Amino acid sequence: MNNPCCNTETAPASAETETRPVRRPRYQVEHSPEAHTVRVELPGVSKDAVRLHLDDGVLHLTAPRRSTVPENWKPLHRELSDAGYELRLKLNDRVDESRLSAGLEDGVLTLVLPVKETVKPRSISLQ
Amino acid sequence: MKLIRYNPVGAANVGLSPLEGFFRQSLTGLPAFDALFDLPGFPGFKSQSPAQAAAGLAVDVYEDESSYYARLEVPGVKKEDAKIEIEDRRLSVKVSRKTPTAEGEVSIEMARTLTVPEGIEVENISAKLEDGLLTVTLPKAEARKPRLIELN
Repeated sequence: MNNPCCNTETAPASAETETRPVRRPRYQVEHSPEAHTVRVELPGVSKDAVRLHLDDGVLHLTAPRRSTVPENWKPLHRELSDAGYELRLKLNDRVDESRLSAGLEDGVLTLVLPVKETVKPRSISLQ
Repeated sequence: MKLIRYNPVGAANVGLSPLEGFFRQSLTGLPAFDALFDLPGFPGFKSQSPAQAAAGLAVDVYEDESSYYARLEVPGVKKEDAKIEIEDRRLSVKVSRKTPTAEGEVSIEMARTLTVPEGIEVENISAKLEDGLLTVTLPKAEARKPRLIELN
């Protein structure tokens, strides 16, 4: 498959994923010549709960969803999931791993994956 | 007794804009990104069915002694872009999510309507937005709260 920036990895179920329910969050990717911007929807996750870990070209995102419902609230109707979020993105070698940045705002994690200077399109002037 | 009725046509109240069509596609089926990023058989992807997402914003409803609570997931929505209204026991939540893109800002509208029980103190309804979760608190009128009756 031809991927402009990254690919989800099929991960072997770790001990962690077996004990706690997880789901893959929704995300969108936008590409520009400078960077790939990945916006991951993490409603219900606070900033300190997000873990980002880069290992051998694979970006691991884990974000447990903290339970924000007080114990005395009785559920009458449920549609939302309590499962935490887990996403693995395999970065392709155009991504400059040393310049990754991330920010969480209003339940959306924005990951900026800059393209390496060496692979950016450029025009070559004639001598 | 069913206190709060789920209104499956809630999303239809907004009117379908081309952007909403885009939103559903990109956030439920993700065909474009599927092709780019998904490996077949990745576990956990079907956490939310397309039908569920297409019905509008997902909602949880809770109650305690003093109030009912409606909680909705609205990632990426700013406080000023959330509108909550109540009319004739119909609580409507409309949000617009604005995302900057290279072509300019893209705005996506989502909505949900719920019928709330009788005996709500309408003037005291409040709402809080935190980490992409919107919580609407609907206080019960005094008459609906459990109370201790003292013997004379």
